[in-house]
Amino acid sequence: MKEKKKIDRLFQESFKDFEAAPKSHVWKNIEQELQKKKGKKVIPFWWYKAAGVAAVLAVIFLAANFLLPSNNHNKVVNSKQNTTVTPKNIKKANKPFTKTESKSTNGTNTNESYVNKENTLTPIIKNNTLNSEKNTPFTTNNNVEPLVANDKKPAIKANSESTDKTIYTPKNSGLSTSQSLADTNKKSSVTEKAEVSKTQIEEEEEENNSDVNKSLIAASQTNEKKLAGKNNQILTEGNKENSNSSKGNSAIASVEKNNSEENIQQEDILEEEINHKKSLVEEANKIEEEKLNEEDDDDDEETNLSKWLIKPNVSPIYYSSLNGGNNIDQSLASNSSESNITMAYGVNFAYAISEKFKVRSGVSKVNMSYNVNNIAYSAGVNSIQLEGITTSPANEAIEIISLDNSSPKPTTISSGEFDRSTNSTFTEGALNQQLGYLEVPVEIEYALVDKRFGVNIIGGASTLFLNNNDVYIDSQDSHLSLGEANNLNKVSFTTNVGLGFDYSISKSFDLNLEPTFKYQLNTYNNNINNFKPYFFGVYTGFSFKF
Amino acid sequence: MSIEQLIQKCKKQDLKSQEQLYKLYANKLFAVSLKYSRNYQEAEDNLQDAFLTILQKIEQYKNTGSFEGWMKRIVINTSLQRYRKQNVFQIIDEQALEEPDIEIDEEQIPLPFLLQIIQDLPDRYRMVFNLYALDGFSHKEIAEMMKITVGTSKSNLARARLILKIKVEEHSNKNNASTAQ
Repeated sequence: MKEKKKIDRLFQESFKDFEAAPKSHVWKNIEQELQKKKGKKVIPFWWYKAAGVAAVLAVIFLAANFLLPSNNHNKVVNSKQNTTVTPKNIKKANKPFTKTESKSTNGTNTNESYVNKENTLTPIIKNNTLNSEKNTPFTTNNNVEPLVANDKKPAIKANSESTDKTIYTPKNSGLSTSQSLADTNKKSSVTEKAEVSKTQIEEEEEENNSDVNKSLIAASQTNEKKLAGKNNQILTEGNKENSNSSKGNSAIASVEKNNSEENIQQEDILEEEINHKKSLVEEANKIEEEKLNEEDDDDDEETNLSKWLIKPNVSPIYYSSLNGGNNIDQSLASNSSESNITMAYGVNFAYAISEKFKVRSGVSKVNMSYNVNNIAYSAGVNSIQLEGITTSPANEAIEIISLDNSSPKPTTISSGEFDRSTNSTFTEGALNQQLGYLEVPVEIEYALVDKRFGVNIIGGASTLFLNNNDVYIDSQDSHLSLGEANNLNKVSFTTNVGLGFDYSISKSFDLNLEPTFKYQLNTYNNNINNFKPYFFGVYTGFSFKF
Repeated sequence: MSIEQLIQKCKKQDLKSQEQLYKLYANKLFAVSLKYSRNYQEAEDNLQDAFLTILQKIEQYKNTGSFEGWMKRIVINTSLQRYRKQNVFQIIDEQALEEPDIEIDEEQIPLPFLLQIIQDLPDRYRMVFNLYALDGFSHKEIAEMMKITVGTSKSNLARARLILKIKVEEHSNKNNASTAQ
């Protein structure tokens, strides 16, 4: 039996602290595989996301097209031909609007999904020293000799007297000396090992044609307890204190002498190990089995990218102009005007270029409405059309005058057959202009504060596509469609400045509030009253990172 | 950063941390892989497969027991798997051998040589010898892992020892002869 032990021991001893650096291509392959797997999973995931987003957009805009005011005013026009519109009809007409509003928000809610944000870079462990307290520079320099592989001289014998570790480096005397030194510090902290392996990997790149055993490095440490214990590997960490014993440094000869002592100690250690080992064995077995069974489990991996955000939002819109007035007719320039609060809603996407900067775009529907007050209207035979409005054929007979000023028109007309200003058929009312745009913004967002509560500055521009253009006459009991503005550009632009506030509820879910000012640039192709419109919205919504 | 933190980050599949983990343990794990493989190339393949498994299954490591032990076990299992899949365990005469009388001179044998002769062993001998003599598994465990009987495990071990002993002796003799000259 003793003989048997001997051959086992020879190997145990030699392989005790055996380490070998794999070549750098091994990690590269692993990395590639990892990325392949990630890539595989990310793509369908994106498609899914994109599909969700597309669905939301489709719902919103279909709803907008079919249910929103563009349809409503047909009803109004029809009813107008009966000369009056009952308030009931107006109410009805407005209903679909609110309906769609809630629909679209519901739509977006169902398409949410949840992804964890990636944790950013881990700090790299730095290696400060190669020399541990145990190995003074002197002893290591004296005792550690890198040996050439072909050299038949037994290395361990040569060094066993005083080293606590013997290192084998088959080739590379120069470079690997430092490497070996590093390896002698087996017991020093884990961080050092990281560095060691780094140097080994670098080194390997230089020696591509190395033979099989070239990069093997072995350190034999003659700590008897560990040697005798069968489970060297699991034990190594546990038995640090043993490594300090001077006994540990003696040659094999002494190993034999101590056999009897060891056996007793061994048993205790072994028992502990066996328990410990069993749990590991079970765990690892389970994993292996699982791996076999479900080789293509695709869904449980989360992607670490959270560079994208999707932001559904709604905003009240306040529409006005820098210099007041309106752009309907010169005669109405001094009439007071007021904005009706309308709504805008849409979806934005943002892409994080860096931690601070995001680029964003999206689509939203903006409705604007404002009133020009103090006008009077009447059906006239020779009515004079307002400059900025193309009235619909049915309404050509309607004439509108301002009650605010003594503009030339009414006076000249009043000098004619009909004195309109005193004519009782004039009805007081207001002109209501309604504009609808599809807005496509391109904006940059800069994070001033990037905590749980975040503050951003937003700047950019939007392209507006006109898709709704109506002018109504509102009076106490009617809402008549007069026609549409004829001086609006189909495509116009705005410059946008805003302040964004967000509050993160979870890693991927934020609430947003963005008061934004948008100044319109070329809304009119014929700017009658030098009207400088802008609109202001407080965009409220939530955002998902993925 | 502690190893626990590193493990946590690896659980989140953070690539930088995964690389760091690799650099920390590659040498030790490669050593294990080398012992269990037929050659260097195969050891590299094993390490690669095993480390991928480690990274993919790292969330199943529940912080019970040594992390290094857990990883080593995966490396061992990966190499066992390879032979199970290939079904190349030789059918060997399983009659128990007489215990060989193994004596070895009290001298050190270079490790690359020892590794070479381990790798040169027939697959099943190599597995059994590694598991039993170097990694402390019992014959019963080995029998379960390799789907063989305890008797086979014992007999394989004995044969492995014999082969190794002969080669070690040859080596020593050659060595002695050369130093004598």
